[in-house]
Amino acid sequence: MSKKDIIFLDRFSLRGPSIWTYRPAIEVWIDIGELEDFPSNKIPGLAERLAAWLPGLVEHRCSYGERGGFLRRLQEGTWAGHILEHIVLELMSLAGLPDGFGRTRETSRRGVYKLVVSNFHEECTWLALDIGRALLLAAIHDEAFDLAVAIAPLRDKVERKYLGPSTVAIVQAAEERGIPHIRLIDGGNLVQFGYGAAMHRIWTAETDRTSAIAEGIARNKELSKELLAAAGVPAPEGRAVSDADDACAAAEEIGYPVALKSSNGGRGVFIDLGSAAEVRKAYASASEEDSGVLVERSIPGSEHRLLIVGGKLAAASRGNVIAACDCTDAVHPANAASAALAARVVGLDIAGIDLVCRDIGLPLAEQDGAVVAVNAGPGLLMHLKPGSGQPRPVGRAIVDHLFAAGETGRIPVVGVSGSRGKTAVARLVGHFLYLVGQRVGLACSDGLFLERRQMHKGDAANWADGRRLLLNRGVDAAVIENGGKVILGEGLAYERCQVGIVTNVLPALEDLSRWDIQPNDSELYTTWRSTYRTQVDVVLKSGAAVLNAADPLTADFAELCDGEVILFAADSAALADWRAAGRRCVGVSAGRICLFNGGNEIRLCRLGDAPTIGKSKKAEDVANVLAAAAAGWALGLSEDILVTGIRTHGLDLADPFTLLPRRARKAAGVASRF
Amino acid sequence: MDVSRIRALRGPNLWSRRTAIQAIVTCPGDETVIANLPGFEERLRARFPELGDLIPADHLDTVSMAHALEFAALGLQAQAGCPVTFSRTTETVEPGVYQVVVEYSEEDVGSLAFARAEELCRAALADAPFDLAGSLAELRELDEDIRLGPSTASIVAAAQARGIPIRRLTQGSLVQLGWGSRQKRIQAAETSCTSVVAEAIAQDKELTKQLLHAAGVPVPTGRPVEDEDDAWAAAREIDLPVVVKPQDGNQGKGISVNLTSEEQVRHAYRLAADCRDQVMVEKYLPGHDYRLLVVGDKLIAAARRDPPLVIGDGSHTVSELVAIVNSDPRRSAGHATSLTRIRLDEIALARLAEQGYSADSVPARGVRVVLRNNANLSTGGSATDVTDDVHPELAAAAIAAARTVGLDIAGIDVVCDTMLKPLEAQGGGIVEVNAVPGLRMHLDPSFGKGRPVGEAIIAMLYPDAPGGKPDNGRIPLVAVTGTNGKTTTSRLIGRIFEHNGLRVGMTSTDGIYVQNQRIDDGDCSGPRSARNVLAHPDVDAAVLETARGGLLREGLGFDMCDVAVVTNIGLGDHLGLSYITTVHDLAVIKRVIVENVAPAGAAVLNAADPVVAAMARHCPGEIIFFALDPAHPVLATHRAQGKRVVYVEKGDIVCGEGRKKNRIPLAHVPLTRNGTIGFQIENAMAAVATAWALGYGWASIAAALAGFVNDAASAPGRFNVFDYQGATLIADYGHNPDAMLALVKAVDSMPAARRAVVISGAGDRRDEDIRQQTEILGAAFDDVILYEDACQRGRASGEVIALLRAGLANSRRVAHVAAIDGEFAAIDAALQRLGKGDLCLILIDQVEAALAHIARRIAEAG
Repeated sequence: MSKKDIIFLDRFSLRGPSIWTYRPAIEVWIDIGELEDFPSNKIPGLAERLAAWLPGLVEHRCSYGERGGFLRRLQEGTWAGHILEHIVLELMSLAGLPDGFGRTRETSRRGVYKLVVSNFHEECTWLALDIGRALLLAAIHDEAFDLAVAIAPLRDKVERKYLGPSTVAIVQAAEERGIPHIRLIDGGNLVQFGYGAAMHRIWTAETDRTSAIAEGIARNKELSKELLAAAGVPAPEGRAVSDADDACAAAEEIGYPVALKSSNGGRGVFIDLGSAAEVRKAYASASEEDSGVLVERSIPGSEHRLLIVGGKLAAASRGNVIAACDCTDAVHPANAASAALAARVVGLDIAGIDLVCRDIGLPLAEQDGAVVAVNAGPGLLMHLKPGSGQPRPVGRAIVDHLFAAGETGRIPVVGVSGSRGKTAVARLVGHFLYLVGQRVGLACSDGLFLERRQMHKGDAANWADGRRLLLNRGVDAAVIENGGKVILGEGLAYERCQVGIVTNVLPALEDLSRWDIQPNDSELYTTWRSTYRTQVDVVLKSGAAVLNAADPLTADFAELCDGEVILFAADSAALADWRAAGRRCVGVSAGRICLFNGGNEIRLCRLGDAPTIGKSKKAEDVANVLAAAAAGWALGLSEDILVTGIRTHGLDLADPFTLLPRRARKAAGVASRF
Repeated sequence: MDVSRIRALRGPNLWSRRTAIQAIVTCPGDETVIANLPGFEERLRARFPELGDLIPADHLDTVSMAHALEFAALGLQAQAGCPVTFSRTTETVEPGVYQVVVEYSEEDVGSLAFARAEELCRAALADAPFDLAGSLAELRELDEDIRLGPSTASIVAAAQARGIPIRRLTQGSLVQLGWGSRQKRIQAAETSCTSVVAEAIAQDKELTKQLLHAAGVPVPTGRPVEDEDDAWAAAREIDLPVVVKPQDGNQGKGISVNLTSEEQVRHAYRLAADCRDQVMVEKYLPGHDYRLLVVGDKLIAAARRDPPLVIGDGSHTVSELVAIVNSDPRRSAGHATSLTRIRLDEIALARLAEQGYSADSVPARGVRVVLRNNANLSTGGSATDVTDDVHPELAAAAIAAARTVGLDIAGIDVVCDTMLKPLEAQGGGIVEVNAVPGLRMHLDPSFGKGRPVGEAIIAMLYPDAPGGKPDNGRIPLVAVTGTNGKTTTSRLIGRIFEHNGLRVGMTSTDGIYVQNQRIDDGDCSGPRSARNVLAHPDVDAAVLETARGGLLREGLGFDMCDVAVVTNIGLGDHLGLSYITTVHDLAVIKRVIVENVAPAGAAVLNAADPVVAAMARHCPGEIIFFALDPAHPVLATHRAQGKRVVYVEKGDIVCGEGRKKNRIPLAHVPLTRNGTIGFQIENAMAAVATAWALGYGWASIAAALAGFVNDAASAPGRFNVFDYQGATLIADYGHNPDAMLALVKAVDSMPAARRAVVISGAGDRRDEDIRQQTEILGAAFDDVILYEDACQRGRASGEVIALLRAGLANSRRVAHVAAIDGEFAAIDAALQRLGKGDLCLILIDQVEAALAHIARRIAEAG
């Protein structure tokens, strides 16, 4: 390299939790070449130029945990990779994306770094990286750089491709409640909340509970008004008209002033028409749209928008979208009730009710006010960012509408990781769940399974196949195998899991050199520990990690888990401390597979009863069964299920369900076949 | 002939349960007997040969012009294909004036037929021409235009077969099923549960495929393409043959299939790009096109769809063969029949050219000439039912596809060789998921069995209750009618519903109430108000006061009620209006609600009122009689037969059925003032009987009665009792002789030194009725203050007062009579004369204003 340059060597999209962060991220391997010898303090004016071009960098608290931290670091000297990371984050934020995550780590090759930044939208992140590189090089070489011009395409892309602000508000509210989300289309606001059978979908402010018929009724202004009036919701009297003369006749019947609008809710709304001439003029414009025209009594007062979510008033504002003023707290309960009734009459779960009156604090009936329109898929922005007044948590209202208190949208997800034995463990856990009668999805190296059916024969232990299970409405529980390569190269398919299993970590038996994995004591590098701990980090607080007590690297993860830890080992000595502490573990006692709960010992079956262990009783086969049993126990499955599962897994039986002990069948409501 | 007051009877009515057009027809002179009009019938038949025999329903009647009109209006509709059979003409009390009623299936068609029938009669009379063919075509076209389409009609028919009430909400296909809080809506094959998000997903074919793939459903691989070159690149990635189609297309527009060369792919791209923006290239799956209909979590029907084709016979050209196929009466231009005509258009000609034919070629005998690649019915394709062939795994895949997209009703397009094997076993796939699928091919396939699709949709919308009881979407509905006591009885029944946790919708002569909030005011005892209550989403039970005005005008606002209550008819009220001249006429109209009791329902009838008791035999359901006197012969007989009766015995309301008895002490019914107010006891009995008929628990009934207050605030103008300086004031809205009798009876039981009454007369009553009111009062009161109420309805000033005075002429008791101008002044005059211990009955007219005035005077008196 003759000139100071930064080269992108390799890049991965980490689409789920990774060794770096819980969120999707892009990992780029960069080669900074001779810049390795030129940290920022050695390039005159670099820090000043960057601070001038990107004033927002002062907010980056890096290194010192305080405002200006990163700039101080620039002055003192940091390397190009780290600088690029901050530039890219700042660019993304300038382009309208949320604040993100960034990390830069050395590799074992001099001048080569792993740079990681949040990935809100793949194309946007790539573009930000390219612009950031150009900007940094210009700053290094003291060349001119027009930020406004450079960032324009990024802004444009974010505008087109990233979620709209209303959807972002809903997504954030879901995150606050611990509900995972999956964006379903590129460049659109269709989002899935939750996984598998527990999911709900939204499309901006419409949900999978929003009735298509109701939306059609809302669009038909005449019909919706008729229905509202019938239910006693104050609606302006008026009627559809056939031509300009009829419009004037209708205006005479109703009495001036009148309002005139297109009946399919088009933009043409004319209010306060005081004379036949004005009516004619308005009719001429309104009738250009391809729909009927309505003439109504002009309602005195100002326009209010009441947002009804799930039958309740979520927010209210006065004035138009541009200058909305929040008035939620002022709404008279009778008006809130009228708006909720209007939504119910039309049949919408989420509706924007347009209401005209002088004072929203007085009942409509006392002031001649009226509901003038019911809108499906209402905009939320005016409530999230009102021109004046208090913003309202309408995203939260929508999430609460879809998910009752306590619901997280999650199905039981079991993640299985480790160097060896993952597939065997995953299949046995899947078998347990199948026996319970759950529609279980299993993604492992042996393929993709839905209940007994193999949907895909090749290796399905990857992000895409794991994700397929979570997208599937017909999945009650998912078991997903994640090898080291998935964690390092793709990220996990799920954001959190109920049970995370690490079978073992065996550096000697696994080749992860492609990811430049270093021994565990090298803090600045990617290590075996940082790779496999990912599976433990994502365990829910209410969940459990299942760890191999016989493998020291794995057993070490226990301290990292947010939830419970269940250890397993065939060797009782490895479990002794854990048992003494009164914690759950799974092991072998007197040749039997046992669940240990403090002092209690629950015997499941003999080792030899498990076809997968067989007579050979190989240590790894035993360990796999123990791991799976521990996971099943963590999921709250009954002993009967565990015993039957262990005894039948690996047998070529027509229907292992029939082998369930009698009382388990009874509990599952299944008639005896014997 | 003069035709006036044309009305649509939109519900069960005086004449029948069917919807009908009703008109008053006045026939001058000779027109009352058409036999007297030389040549008229011949001319009529010449103009409308299909006219049926002119045989009046009342066979002794002579045939009038009105009858001719009746049969012509019915006949025209029948000839236009409307399923109508009922008509009736009756002479009114005025000679030459007839009421003509003609059934309709569509209101607009009925009205038009009525108008055309009138023209026909006039043309026949004047020997002028009449355009029969034109009129019938017009009627037929209008009928096709506004009657429900086949998909919606199949669902509606299934709903009706289940007893689910239906109501069309628009001229289009939007229909309300069920009532109140139990209502649902459908619109063609869309329900109120069909999600707008699911429909949007189904519209996005790429996303749909991605989700189906995630769910393990076989789909053809493919991707969207940017341009023509990209289309060819994609085709090579995927492997030929491929399909090129617009991403959001429908009805098969712009789709090209089985493309095997670069040239074909590029041409197809241009064709697809013409339709929409985004074009897709995907793997062509060989095999037949199938459409699988999934409703809820069940596969309901499957059809194989074949493209339009003709089979050569060695003698006709392709265009002739097309004409022959199109001559099949099942083929029409639109969607109304099971097949649509084949079009020999540009696309068809291009497809012909591919096979080496032109429109003028003569294909050899037995050669199948395909005219289009896509097999949509709307472009002339045919459908063959294959429901019974579907392999369970294939059905499971279709159900999974619908569930994945989130649709409750979905049409799944499958391409594969056969329905007999799973998709995976034959390389088939699901190519599309359609929201709002057409049902025509399953209801009435070109070949094979029709499937009960409407029934399946209704079964999904209204699943059987856990006990296996079929759900019909109804809410408890009580209809109440009678001369007096309707409102109090209705409110009592409403209160019992509330005690059972139901939200009540109520119509009455002073407004519509939902959950005790007035949502409409004025006289709301007609069908419109009834429909509004039954459409209200917050109503779990309805109590509908049903007055005769709306019934005469439009019929009932519901098809059946669970309980019909008739409090009394007595001497009648408002006689003389709308050809209702006798108590018997009144009974005929009021008993319409009894005639329309559900078969499992009941009529609650006042046994003491002979006119009401006689309605019993018109009730399709059970009868519960009530009467104060347990020994009343009607009631006693009913009781002896082991049927349900309600009466008063030893200070209790007794509900008896055979030997079983349940008692509610009158002392616990404050409304009756310890059992002293007879008419309130009757109202309470009617309410109790209704609740009993509906099966509510005794505890809730007793609790509701115990908590029922009847003061000026809660029941304005319904026997409101006040204390005024030691005197008792009673304000009531009673305005007819029966009300007077009941009031007199009630007031008699209250001790008083001297008795006064303030009364006015409504101008719309007959003279004798007005006179009768004071005749009754004259026997019970010492002082009478007369006033003229606000609405004299066309009578001269002083006329009503004179009639009221005339009624008092023979009274021996009345010592003082005064006529005062204005209601308030009259009240004031009465109050001035009151002393301690006196009693004054004030028959108020403007209820709210008068009560406010009385309250003010009481307040002033301290």
